[in-house]
Amino acid sequence: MAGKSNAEGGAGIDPMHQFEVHPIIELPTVAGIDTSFTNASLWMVLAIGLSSLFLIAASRRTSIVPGRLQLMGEMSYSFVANMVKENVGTEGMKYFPFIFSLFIFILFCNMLGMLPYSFTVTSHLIVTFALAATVFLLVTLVGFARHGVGFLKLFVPSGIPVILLPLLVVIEVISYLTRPVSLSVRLFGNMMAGHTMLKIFGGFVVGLSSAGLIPLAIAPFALMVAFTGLELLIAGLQAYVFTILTCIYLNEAIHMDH
Amino acid sequence: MPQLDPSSFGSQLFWLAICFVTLYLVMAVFVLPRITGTLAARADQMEGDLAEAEALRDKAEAALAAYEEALAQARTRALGLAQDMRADVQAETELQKSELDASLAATAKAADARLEAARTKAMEGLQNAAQDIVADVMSAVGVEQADEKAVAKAVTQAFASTSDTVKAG
Repeated sequence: MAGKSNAEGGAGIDPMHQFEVHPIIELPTVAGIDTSFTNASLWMVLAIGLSSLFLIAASRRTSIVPGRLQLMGEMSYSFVANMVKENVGTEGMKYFPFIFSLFIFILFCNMLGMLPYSFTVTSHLIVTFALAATVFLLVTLVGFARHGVGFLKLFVPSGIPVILLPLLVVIEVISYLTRPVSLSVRLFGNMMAGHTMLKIFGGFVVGLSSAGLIPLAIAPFALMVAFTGLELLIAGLQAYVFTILTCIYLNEAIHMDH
Repeated sequence: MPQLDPSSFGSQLFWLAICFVTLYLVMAVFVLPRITGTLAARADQMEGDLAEAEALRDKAEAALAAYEEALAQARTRALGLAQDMRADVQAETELQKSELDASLAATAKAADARLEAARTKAMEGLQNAAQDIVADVMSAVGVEQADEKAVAKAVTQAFASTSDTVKAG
């Protein structure tokens, strides 16, 4: 894992330092996999712990007329359920628990990443890629399970001159295969860029004020506040985008209306 | 860039798998079925309440219709009763009137009969008296042994013509 960079002095703050993974509890390597409990693992556990706590509490004692907590739980449920129903239809409700977990996991990881001194799980490409690859595998499996070899028709656009077909099929296949890449890079890029930018502006503020130029630090500080608001919006939006793209891919696999 | 350091991939993937599977199981087993149940129960209750409200409204409308029908029936019956009553009273009046007429007629007839009887008796008395007078006159005149039959005949004839004139008068 990356070594310590020059963290001393305000201007010398490394904006990438926040993404470093370091073990908290060293655990042995099992079957070639390092199982060490790291700061990344900690924030993953926190994300699922907090979200589970919230949703279990929200659904524990339910009444016909909901309280505040219950209403929040039901609103998250309805938000994702409506997304699935509108984009996939009622057949999609079979995969609703998966899509709901995906949305809640990404949302909580993104939001917890906004806390100072926290670690943003979703700012690591390997994590977002694993999630995107899971979606990709699920969608592909559902497609082949429902349509068999006929699922390959997805790569053959209709109403196209025969001469263009080989070219278009290649393009379609490439665009299908790059889906997990685009899906994971979108989330990872948004998270990493936002946090890096916040850190750079934070470095400006600390550097300028420690150099005695406090009036000059006001502008980057104001920008930082504004970007923090924007980042909160992006944290929610990216969780939504990831989820809705999963729904759209699933809909294609189930209905094949390309 | 720490994201490109493959040494952290193993542990990240390992813990991601554990965390995501745990979250999925918690959601799929504990949370989502409960919320689904609550939402379904709420939808059911609302549907039930609406159905009940509709049933009650139908009942109220039926009660109103029944009330109006009962009212109309009662009105018709009251009208019928009034007509019957009027007819009864009229019939009773007619009956009493006719009975009264009959009894009056009988009384008048009886009175007439008594009058006629009294007249006849008076006439007879008068005739006998006339015969006696005739007999007395004849004996006074000197006619002995007058023919009684002839006298009665003459008196009767005289009376008949008189009574005819009396009657005619």
